[in-house]
Amino acid sequence: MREVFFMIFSIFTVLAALGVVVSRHAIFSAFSLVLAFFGLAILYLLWGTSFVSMLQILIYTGAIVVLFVFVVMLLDLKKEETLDSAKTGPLVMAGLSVWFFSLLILRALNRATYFKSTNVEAASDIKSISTLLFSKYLWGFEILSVFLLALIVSACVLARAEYMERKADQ
Amino acid sequence: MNTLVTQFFFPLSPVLSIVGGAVLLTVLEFFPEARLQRVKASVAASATLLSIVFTLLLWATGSFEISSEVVETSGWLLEFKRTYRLDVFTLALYFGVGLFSTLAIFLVHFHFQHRKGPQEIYLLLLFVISGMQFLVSANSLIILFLALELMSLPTYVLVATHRRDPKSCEASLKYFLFGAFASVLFVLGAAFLYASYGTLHLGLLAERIQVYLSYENSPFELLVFTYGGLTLLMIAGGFKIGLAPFHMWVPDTYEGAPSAVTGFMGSAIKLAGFALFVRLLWGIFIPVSSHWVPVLNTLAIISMFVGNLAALAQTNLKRIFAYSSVAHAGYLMLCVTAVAPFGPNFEALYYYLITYGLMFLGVFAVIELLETRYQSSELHELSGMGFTHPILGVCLSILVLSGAGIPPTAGFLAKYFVFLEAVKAGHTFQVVLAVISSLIGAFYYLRVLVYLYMRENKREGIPLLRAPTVFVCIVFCALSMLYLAAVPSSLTFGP
Repeated sequence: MREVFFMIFSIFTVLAALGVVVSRHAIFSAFSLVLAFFGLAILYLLWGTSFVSMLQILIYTGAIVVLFVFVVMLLDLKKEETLDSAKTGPLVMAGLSVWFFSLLILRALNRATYFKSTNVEAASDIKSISTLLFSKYLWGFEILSVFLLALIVSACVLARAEYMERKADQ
Repeated sequence: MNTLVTQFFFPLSPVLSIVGGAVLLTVLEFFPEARLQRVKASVAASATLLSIVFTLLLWATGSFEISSEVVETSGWLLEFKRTYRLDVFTLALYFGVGLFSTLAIFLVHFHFQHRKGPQEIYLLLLFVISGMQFLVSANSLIILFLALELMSLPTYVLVATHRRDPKSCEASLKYFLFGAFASVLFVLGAAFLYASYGTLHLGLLAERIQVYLSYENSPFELLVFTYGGLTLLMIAGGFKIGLAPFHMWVPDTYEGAPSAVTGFMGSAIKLAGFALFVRLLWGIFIPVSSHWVPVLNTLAIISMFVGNLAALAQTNLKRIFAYSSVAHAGYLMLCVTAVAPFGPNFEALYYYLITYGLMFLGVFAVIELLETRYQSSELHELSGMGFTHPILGVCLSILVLSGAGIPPTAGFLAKYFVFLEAVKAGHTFQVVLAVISSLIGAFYYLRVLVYLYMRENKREGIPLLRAPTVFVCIVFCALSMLYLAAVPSSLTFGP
């Protein structure tokens, strides 16, 4: 039963992700993205990692895509700014690479027995995730804090450069 | 307490001094007065110098084993020691990163003395440097990825510091798109390896690849995921170091970025990119070396020819040296692939990386001077500079000769060591091609000399700006070319 649901929702997720790429209007892309993220959240749920699934919905769907939609709305896209005609060349290339890649994956997954033997620690609830975060992945967690600070500063520099220059001109 | 100092703070001190400097600068950013820029620059420079000092101290004390008391406690400290790799290679790379960064900070300071720019430039530089240090000491795929991103993201902003300049924006956007794509491929590759071996730790991955792939008939999907992961990681790394055919962003980005930042990218980021290759290929993929060596060898040859031939057609100094950096990535890759039968030789690679980085930084320091004065980096701006600025002319000649690999300089020895390694590994044909391509390359390096000494000076009476720090940087780079050639053993280190 779980396998059936898994297949259904993975196909759903892939279709939604395709929708992000091929939609001609930015707002359709954004909503396809919401669907893709929901699909991913359901996949996580089927894997038994309910916490990650909730985070997926809260952070990606709740915060990030909503921001996307806001930006798209604020930009006030006119008719001519949507992609009027999709070029065939890139589409053919994309189709070929997807085809090749899915062959690779399908061929590999055909004998998926191997994956049951690898012992990947299952972290499904907050407690086990935080234990892992502060023991096994502590160093990565610390680097992440530096990384986030760097990101904030970078974003400020990009957004504020204009303002500072104007201030210097006065 | 004592364990904490000897096992945590001391091994981490080169990184901590950079991150500490970054935190201090974050606080200093509350004071945006222009006259504080000098203070901020000196904070950044002292952080990198401190990092070099700590690296040398660690080198002198030199014990890299995980002590038994840490193993007994088996808490977070043990997990930290497992993910943070400290060995002679790491220290050597720390030293290289510190050296290039210090020089680059001087250049960046000069650049922004004469132009408007964001205040936070040194802060971003320190973040990039800390990212490189995390990268070279990483012992886990997830740390490698985080460090790669920490290194790349502030660099995109550094490239785009001149927001009014369309070239700078174009450079940054191109770099960002290619870099983001490479990051995605890296994550996918890492996920493949994690899915098939159940670990992100590089040491464990190496053991498991060795064991699982030595079976007579390993499961097919294991092979697919191992080689698929390997391919994706190599492509991601190739984008970062600008190896052909992943070099499309290099000329535009190197041209559009401020020259000081280009010098930094071409030396330090390339060093870190090759550290990534070394960690992955020499660290975990040695058992499958027969699969990646021919591929990377071919890419190395393509890089050399693409870089050297395209540089012939350029008239802009920045583009010439951008293409030459593609060619140099090819020579370096020839050293990375020389693994069989005697095992990889880190010293040849390190010698090449350091001499190439110093050459690149020195040349871009000269370009920075030219660009600040004449607002252009075309080749003809150099006309007659050998006579109007004799010391600068001699220094640039030494640097350029070193880039071409002509004997009295370190560039020759670097190429010689790399070719020797490749011949030892049985890649004689590739070495012949590499020699041919460096002969082609010598043409455009010598053209710089022709402009320096054999063209009329049209700029009589408009001397370059007086810039003692940049001048010292250039002289340092040029002298180190001669010093490293005379004493090549100064860059060797014990096992």
